[in-house]
Amino acid sequence: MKKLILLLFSMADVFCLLAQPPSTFVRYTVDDGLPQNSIWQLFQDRRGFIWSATSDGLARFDGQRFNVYKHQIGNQNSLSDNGFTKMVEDRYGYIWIGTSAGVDRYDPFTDKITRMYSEGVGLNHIPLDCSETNEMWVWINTKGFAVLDLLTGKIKKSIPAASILPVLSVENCPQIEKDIDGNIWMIVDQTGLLRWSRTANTCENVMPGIKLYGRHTVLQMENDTLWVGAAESENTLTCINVRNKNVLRSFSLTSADGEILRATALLRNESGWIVGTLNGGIVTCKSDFSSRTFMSLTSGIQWYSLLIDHNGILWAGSDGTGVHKQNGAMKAFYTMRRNNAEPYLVKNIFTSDSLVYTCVYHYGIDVFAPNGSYLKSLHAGSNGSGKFRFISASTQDDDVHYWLMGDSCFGRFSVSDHSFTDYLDSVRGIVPDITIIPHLSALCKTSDQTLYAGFGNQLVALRKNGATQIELVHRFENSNISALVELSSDELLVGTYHGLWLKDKSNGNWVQQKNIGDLHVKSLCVDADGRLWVGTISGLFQINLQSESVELFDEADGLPNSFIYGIMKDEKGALWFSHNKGLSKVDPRTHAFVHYNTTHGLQSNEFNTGAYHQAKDGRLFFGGINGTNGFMPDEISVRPQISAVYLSSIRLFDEPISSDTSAWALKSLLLSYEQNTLSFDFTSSDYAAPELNLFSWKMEGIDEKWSGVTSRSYCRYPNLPPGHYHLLVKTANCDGVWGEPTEVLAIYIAPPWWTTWWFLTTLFASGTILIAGFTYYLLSLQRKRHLREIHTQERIHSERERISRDLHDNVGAQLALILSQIEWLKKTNQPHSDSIHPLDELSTTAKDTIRKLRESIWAVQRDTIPIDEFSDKFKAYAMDQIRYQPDIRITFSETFAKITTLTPTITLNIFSICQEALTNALKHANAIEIKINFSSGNGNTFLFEMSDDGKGYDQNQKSDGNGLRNIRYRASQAGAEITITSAPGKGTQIRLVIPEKKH
Amino acid sequence: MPLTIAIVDDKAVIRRSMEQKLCDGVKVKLALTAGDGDEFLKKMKALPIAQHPQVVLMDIDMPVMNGIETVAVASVLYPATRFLMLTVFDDDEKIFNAVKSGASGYLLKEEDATTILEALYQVVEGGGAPMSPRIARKTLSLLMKSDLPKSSAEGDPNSDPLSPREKEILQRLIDGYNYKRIAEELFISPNTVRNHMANIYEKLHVRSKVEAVKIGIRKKWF
Repeated sequence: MKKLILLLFSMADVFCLLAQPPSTFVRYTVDDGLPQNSIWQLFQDRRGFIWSATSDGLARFDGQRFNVYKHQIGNQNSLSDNGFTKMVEDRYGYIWIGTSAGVDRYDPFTDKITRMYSEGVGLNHIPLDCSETNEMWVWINTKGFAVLDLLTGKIKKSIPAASILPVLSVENCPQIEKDIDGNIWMIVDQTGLLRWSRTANTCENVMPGIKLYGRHTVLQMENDTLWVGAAESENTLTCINVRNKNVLRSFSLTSADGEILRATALLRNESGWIVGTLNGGIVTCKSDFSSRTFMSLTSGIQWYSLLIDHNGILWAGSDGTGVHKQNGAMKAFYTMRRNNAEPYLVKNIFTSDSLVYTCVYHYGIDVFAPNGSYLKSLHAGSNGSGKFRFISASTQDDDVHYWLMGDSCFGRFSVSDHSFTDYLDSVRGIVPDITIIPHLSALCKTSDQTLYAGFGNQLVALRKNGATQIELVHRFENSNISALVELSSDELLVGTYHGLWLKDKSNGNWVQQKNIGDLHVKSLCVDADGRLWVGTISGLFQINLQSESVELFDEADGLPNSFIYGIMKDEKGALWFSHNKGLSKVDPRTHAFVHYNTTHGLQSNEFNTGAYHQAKDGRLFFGGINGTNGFMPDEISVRPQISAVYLSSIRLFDEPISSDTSAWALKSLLLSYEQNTLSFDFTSSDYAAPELNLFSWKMEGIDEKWSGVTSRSYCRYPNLPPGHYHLLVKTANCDGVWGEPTEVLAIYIAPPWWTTWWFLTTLFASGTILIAGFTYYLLSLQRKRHLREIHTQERIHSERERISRDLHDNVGAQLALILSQIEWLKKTNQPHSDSIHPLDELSTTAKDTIRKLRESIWAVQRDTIPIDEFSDKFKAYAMDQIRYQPDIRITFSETFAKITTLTPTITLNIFSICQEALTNALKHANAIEIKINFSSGNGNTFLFEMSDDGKGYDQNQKSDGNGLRNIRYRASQAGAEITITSAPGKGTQIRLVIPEKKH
Repeated sequence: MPLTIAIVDDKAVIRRSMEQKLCDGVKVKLALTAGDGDEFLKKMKALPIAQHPQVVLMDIDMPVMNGIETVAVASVLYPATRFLMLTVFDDDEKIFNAVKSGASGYLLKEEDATTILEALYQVVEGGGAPMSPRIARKTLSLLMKSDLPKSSAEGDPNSDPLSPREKEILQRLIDGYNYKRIAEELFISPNTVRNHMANIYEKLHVRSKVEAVKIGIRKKWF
């Protein structure tokens, strides 16, 4: 039995070597901009654009969007018909498009279509490239050939069908090819495969037995061999020697059910064939049609067109489901997970020579073959208990044993017989109060064969000295242990929720290292040069333990995420680390990063604490929330950057620029000084994963630095001054590999004509031009006046800001300075010992000035002051006034029905009134109890009421004093109504109201 | 043991006068002075922990690195040190930001030596410095919001909402009461009010520890 299992594993190994990395496809449909979902032909032109021919027009894909070309009635620069036959690119780069109404030519330099030739509507026109003779042959169904001059498009001659095919009825000819000798091969509906020799003008049916139908055929010429596939054929493909017309061989590919697959599309690549079939999806096979592989595409789709683009990306066109493109970002990561287990949180991973053990939260230990196929779960194994359900740490003990630690177990696991010896009780015997924190545990076996285990905040050591000796090493205050690593100096470094800790050798104390403060550590790794890498929940740190220098990498430095889980070193010395936005790789010396996420084939973007492991063979494993990713670091390929970058559109004042040259063909642009706001779209012809392409640009002549490094492929330059400019663009592919900068456009913006030397010269000589100049002068005056109006409001605002800033910076600081100096003077030089120091007054005045200034600034700084803020300010002022008079009580109340606002001027006036009123109560009336109320609403913008228990005065006898006059004046300035009532012995009541404005 | 302080202000004459105003060398000792936040943090790094100031008087507006940023970083790097903001103008917005970034109080620059010293001793003894009605109002409205950032899952005092007593105290501060009068009204000692105030200040310290440590590492203040 054991042998059988071993055999199975070795077979699995072989399979793993053969298996291709998972290639998923991205699908483009009408929702993405295609005019229609039936793709008859896919074609890449020499600039890199991908053309999709549909049943309703053509689409040119530039990496960002599908640009659609259709038939428009009455427009000679549109397709002659949407019914498509075939498109070919001639040697000058023109694209000839056959339709059921004629043959059209697309000019890539102008991005325009011209109708070239038509024999009539309803007759398929099929272009056949004969450009070595400067001729374009067009087959017109039922009519024959029209031979056009390649450059002029003029018809040179026509060859009637009857003269070629005298005996055959030619209903429809869907496929036509030219062989190396210039002879023409056609598949004719209902008839067979015809070969017409141009020189001898003989025509024969090479495969008369075949019934052919519509488009379900394929012809592919390869040197002197012609490959023929037809839906009605007995075989998948037949190959014919074009010289002797012999059928060389027939090949049949069969589906899993044994059905013969019907080829409708055919493509040669380095390793063999890719065949699009009518009844079995897309099949790849070797050149001899052995070892077929079905590509992971939905079955039941009929494939009509295949294309491998300049970057080696496979494209497939289908009947009704649009364009399917291979996801070129996919890497050789394979995912291990059990089906139908949700959620599938991998918390830890370890390996034996032949198996991968993943510890899945709640499910226990799932065992996988190295190729990623699920074998079994150890959850309910012979050892019975659910102990393995929450494993979160492991470390290798010897060749066949691992130490495992989880919520409810700690012990030694054998990978040979899956037996488990629990040590938890033994540890509890020595350290009775150990706690295991869920999801958190750390294990490390050091070179002296000691196992260190972190139980919550307690570090426990297990030493093998005959019997296992258990010892509590240290208890970290409030710091749970989250990672352990042995440094090259045989020291144990402890990572915790609060920084890194090392034992001080001199006194045996554990000391928190200053290098990363008390950040939460997730993992630790020592690189090949002995530098320490620390993964924390807030960034990745590189620490030189000798010089103690620390470098931090986080989102601010371009990392996709700062929450770092596991760090591992691969066999080449590169470090791999997992986080919440995928997996990254860093060269520890150059600090060059490469990032991977789900688009590269990862289980998900989120990984997990503690779930990382390196197998003996160098394979790395990272576990996340949806399974485990395993990979050989060497097999994670990096795509070279070979694609060009183009402008896809140029806009002037955000409108497409009117030019008869297409944006990508335009090399330079001459503009007048008024045409100075330009925007550009650019695109890269790397379609591996276009959404991951990055762009960076620089407008030489105005930009100092490169801008961008973004997936946004758009830039805008407003108000460029006259001058010479060069727009440079560079692009990175989905692997982050940058190409060389390309100058996509040179721009010259001419200065206004009246500033050029020739105009200035002529101006003096010519009176007529003088008048023009005068007119311009008037116009510019008018414009300036207009501008002035616009800026007035803005200027007032900024002026106000300037005043308050000046007051603050100069006057305020100056006064504070004076005050400080006075204070200092007082302290050092004390000539008077009597009651009042003469400088005290000076000091008080200065303080008062600062206070006044502070109030003005507070009011002037704003456009409006809310009433609650006014109230708060006044309360602070009042409290300060009675600071040294503890007997006086001021009680404030507020009733704000709504928060109204006051203008700065009103604020200043009424604040003074309130101050004056308070001063009167305190200084003149000798009040002890003062009540102040602020309110708003009920028809009032602002209401201030103050009553005191002071001595009061007779309002009939005493005319208002200076203070009261001042109050009344300010009230009138603020538009406020003031009422003062007072009588001797009855205190004073003041009521200040600003009524709400009636609109 | 004398009280050790630091003075951070961009104007040399203010630094000198503050020093002469406050430091007699017996009761109050000067640990360091600096002209901006960056200089302060660098000098702190060079100073042995035993010589770190207990209280830092920090100007708000300074070139290179202002007081608010400095306190945000320094209060994390040096949790044992207290920070009092010094300002010429009581710009509520700036003061409130300074408090949120970790200051234990604020003073106007023209205050006399007695007032400043009183505040210094108060914060060293763990009490909260006085708060104006405006700042109290801002504090109440900020802390009553339920969506306060929570710094971590572990028990964090900052994530507790205000206690009823703290709410009462803040409300009376808004009403314009001083500590003494609040104490009378609530039948507690002024010291208890100060302790509650210290807690309120602590709850206002919404600074991100992690960000401060990271900035410290980048700028080599650590």
